[in-house]
Amino acid sequence: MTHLLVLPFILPLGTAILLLLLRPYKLARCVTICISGLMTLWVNISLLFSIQDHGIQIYRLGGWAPPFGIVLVGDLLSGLMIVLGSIISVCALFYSFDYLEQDDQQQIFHPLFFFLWAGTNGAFLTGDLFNLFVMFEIMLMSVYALLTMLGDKKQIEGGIKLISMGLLSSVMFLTAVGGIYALCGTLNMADLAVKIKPHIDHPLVSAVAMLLIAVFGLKAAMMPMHFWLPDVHSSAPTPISAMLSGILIKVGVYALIRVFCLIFVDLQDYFQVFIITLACITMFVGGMGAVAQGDFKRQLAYSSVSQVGYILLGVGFFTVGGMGAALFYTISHGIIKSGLFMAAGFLKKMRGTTELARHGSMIKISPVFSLFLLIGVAALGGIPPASGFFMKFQLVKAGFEGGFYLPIAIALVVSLFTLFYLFKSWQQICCMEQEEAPIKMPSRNLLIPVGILALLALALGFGASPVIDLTQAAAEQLFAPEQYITAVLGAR
Amino acid sequence: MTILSIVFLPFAASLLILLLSPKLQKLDVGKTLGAVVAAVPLIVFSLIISLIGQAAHTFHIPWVESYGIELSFLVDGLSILFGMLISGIGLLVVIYSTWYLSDKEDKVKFYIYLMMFMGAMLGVVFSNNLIGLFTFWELTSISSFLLIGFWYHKEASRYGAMKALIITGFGGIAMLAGFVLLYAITDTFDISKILTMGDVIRSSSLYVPALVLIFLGCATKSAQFPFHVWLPNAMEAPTPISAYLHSATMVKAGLFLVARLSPAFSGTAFWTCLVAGAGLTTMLVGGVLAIRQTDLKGLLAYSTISQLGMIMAMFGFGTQYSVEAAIVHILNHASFKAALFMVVGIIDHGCGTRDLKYVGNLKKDMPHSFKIALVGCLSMAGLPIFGGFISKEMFYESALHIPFVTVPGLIPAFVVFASIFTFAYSFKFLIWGFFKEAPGHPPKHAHEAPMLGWISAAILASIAVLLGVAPGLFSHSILEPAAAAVSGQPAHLHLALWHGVNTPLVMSLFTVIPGTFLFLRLNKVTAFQSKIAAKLPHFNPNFLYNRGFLGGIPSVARRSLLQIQSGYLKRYLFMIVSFVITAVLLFSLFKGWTLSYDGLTAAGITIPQLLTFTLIVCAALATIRFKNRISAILSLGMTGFLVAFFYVLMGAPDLALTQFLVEAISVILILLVFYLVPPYFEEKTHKTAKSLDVVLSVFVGVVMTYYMAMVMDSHFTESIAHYYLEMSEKLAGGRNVVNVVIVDFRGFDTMGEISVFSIAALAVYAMLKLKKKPKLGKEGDSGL
Repeated sequence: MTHLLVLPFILPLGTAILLLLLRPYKLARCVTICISGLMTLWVNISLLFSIQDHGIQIYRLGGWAPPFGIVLVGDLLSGLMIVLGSIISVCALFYSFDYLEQDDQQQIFHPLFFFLWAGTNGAFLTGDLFNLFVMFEIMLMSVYALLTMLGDKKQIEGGIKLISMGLLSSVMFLTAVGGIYALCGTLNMADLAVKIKPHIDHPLVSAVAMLLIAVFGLKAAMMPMHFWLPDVHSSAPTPISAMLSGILIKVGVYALIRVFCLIFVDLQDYFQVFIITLACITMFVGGMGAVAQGDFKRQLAYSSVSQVGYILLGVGFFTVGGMGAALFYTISHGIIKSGLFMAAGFLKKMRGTTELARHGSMIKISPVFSLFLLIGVAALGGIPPASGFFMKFQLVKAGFEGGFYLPIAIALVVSLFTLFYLFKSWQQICCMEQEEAPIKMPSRNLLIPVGILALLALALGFGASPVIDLTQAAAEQLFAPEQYITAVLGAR
Repeated sequence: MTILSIVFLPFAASLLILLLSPKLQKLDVGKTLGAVVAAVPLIVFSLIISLIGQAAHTFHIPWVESYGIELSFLVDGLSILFGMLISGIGLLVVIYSTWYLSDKEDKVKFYIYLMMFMGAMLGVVFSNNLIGLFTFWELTSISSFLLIGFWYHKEASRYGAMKALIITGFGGIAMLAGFVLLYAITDTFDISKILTMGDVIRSSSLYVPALVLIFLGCATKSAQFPFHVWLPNAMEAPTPISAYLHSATMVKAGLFLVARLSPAFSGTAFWTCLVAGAGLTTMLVGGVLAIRQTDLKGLLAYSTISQLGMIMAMFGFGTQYSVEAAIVHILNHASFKAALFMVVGIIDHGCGTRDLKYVGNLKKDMPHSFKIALVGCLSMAGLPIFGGFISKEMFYESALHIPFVTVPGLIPAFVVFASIFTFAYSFKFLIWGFFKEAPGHPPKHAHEAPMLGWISAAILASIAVLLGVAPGLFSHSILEPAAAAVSGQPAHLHLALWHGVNTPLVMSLFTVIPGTFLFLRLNKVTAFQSKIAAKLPHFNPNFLYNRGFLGGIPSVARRSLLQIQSGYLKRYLFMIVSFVITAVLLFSLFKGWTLSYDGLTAAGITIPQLLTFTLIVCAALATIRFKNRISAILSLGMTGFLVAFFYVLMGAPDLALTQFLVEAISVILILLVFYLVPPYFEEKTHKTAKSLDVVLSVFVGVVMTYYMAMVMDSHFTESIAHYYLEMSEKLAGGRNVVNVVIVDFRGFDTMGEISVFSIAALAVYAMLKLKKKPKLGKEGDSGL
């Protein structure tokens, strides 16, 4: 048993505590952040490689054998998600140094950020349903704290919405977990999968599954549970918006995939039409919402809703191709969207607002910014060779292979809207004449993570092959849940 | 390797200029940059020439092997013809633009975009993989977007750029779907393999959808009716760009793809109906609209639409001869149309306007431009001795022999009718522009451009003449291989001006005479057209785009969004809860969840439990009914304490103790907080809303009660709890099992929950320390 698997949780958690202790020492904090941020990234990447080489990995916390103790499980899906999370986190951390100008803000921001990171990694790695609930709580609380810490009116309002709907989802989660524990007498997901299989057609199992769809759908901003997202994503401090859209909503998608590809495998067909319908509505409503926005950050937030719809659509096909497409979509969207949010943050710093009408002339003010924004916009719009193209392509291919013509038609129509609102905003931000002078020029360092993410989006397009192979392998692994069960419970 | 340099040299040039741009912007690059850039198309052109006559060969770079996606390239007659057009006209356009762009223009950006476009366009024509082709295809859309919006401060430029992007983007999306369907039929993206599978494709059930979707891509790109509306607005681009992208090359990409895929798709009635139908309609619509234009560039734009339709129709006819005719006309059109565009640019520069209301009688002031325009217009009108005449005769000839058309004479009559307009607008350009005096005066006194300005156009015009008088120069080496690549059979072209008196010649006569008549009555006809247009303002695809897409969708979206995203938390919660509970109920009902009382009785309810339960309900109701906050809080606390009492009854004293503590603390905390809030509730909720709330609450309560009761009733397997009871002391050394579970068996959970508390504490600390000036308003956000 290697301890590598617990590091993605322990490292950020320890860092968070250390940062609280080091509060008065700015330099020490910076060094700590740099070292442990990069270390977590490195650990996560090496974990992914080790999963790829040695198969699914298990860590028994406290040495208790499953199903009695809690296990951490690293399969390809988890590995991919934690790597995505750490890439975005490292960029967001780097961004936060220049974004939060006052040191007392950073003193609180960074520990909270590491708590959030720990919770995210924990959620991706845990093999226990109740522990997943705990990780959700960590994430919810830290997002709430990060959202409201600056005390802006909009942020408090978003915070109230977040915490109310978050608590509602916690209640539903607990109801589901309580129900499933009463039924099966266990909380370990692999064990649950084994024990629930003979009783899969019991009505209560469907009730629990539906409750979990609601819980994870709320996290993932699936219609009609997406209401919290636009307010929260648009009002959060930019590094957090990037984290929220880049990785946190994907936690919901991840959890949905996990339970439906492990515990409720035999209910896939039963819920398929439901999930696909909701995915289509999510896509459409999010797209329409984004078209209607006059504020860039809100537009990006709605766009995230819409894009989550695409990911859920891929999941809803319940085929290897669809799942692979959804995973690639998740990774690619995470990178592109967090970059776009950071670009929006640059605008916010410049003029104190992200309202589109107040911006313009960026092509003159900062051609580099315009270029990065164009790459991001084109990538999300699905223009090849950027990675966004492969998101769309794989989804269409998987959809046609599965015979889902109508959902794909809707997806394609919405992708035209996507192209429309993104390029319109680009025109507004970069091309329109803007007489009003910027309040101040933000630090150019803010553009470094934006550029890195934009180039990553391009690189993920040019070098799509290994990532596509990896996501396909992850999808295949998901559709062979015996692997996971055997890895956790041993050969039976 | 040659093919790689052909495609990637322009991209490399673009990237190099991009990387050097900070330096170049500072230096005063002037015309030097243009001269350096001109080397790129020159090299590419000569490389392509060197490929002529070589056997078709391919080259590929792997991209995504698991999907059969690669960047592979195919050199055959068709790609060489297009490659020569792209690089050759590209060279002339670069030369022309060194004159056209004044020193204050951002030349660096111009050449970055232009080189990117050239590379993308070459990529399209040389691609041997559908996805590779699609990649380059979309890049041409992006570079066209950037080039149309080159003068980005102008509203019209941005509008035109967006329109082009949306319409071609729509086609691109459809085309991608079509390619994937084609992949479903053929299991490959490799074009040369697909071309050999024509029979499989035509007999497939996916043939029609695949063809329609791919054709949508071609039709939008090549500005076929009703997607032609983007092209006139694209004329906001600098004139070199209009000449290059929007007449000679990019708009022919759709034709190219139709030609490229025609061995796989053509030869069915559906193909002819779709492709030729779209082409002929476009030809007529473009011609009819072109005669109306007074803006010379607008005239050329509509004329381009019409000519593209004509070529599309020839590919649609699908005979060997019509394909040859189409190939010949592609070359002709590129030569005369690009030349005419350049002339318009010269007129625009020389007079300060290009509107026929203000410019006219330029014959003397612009002698060189006049000669070029003369050649261009006569070739466009299809008069001998120019190339346009030959291809128009071929067009007529091919229209006489169309498969799948049963009505004799219908198509020939139609093409003659449509060509009348071609004749008329060609003469309008020539006569109104160079002979007739204009009603108004141009802002500047007309003057000719220097040689750098007209030399490119002159070269193109001489090619147009050569195509007429010595077509044999091109036919064997360039045109025949191209036609052969499209039709799949060896082509033998006998191009000549004089074939004796035959049907096409008679048809030409029937074009020229009414054409002249139409031209002489042009003012009356256009006045009539304007009257119709004024009466039917909505009868126009532009209306659909402007009001439907640009205006309509955002406003509909805004209105419906206000309904969904109201900003009120209460409404959100209501919608989520009612949705989730309904779904839970339905999904369980469908699985056979019967509403029986078995569960309730199985739980074994006792009298004290029932009493406590009743009290809880009363306390909860009281909480809602109290108008006084303090009483409401206290009765809320009451429910909590009663729940704790339930635990006592169920035999869990430790849990009850915890619950008592939690409840006591929260009541005290809430009381402290509400000390600052007015003591009475304000009644704000509407009555219906309130009753809805009641209904929902009761509904949730009932469903949840059933859920719990059923859960109590069904146990699939034995719980793992016995393990904890047995092992707690033995393995973990603790007798209090609950404690052992919390700190040892599931200690990880506890660590997480402790973190949650720390974070909450930190959140409070942050809010107190970093708060600005909290001004909590009552209004919700509008959701926008």
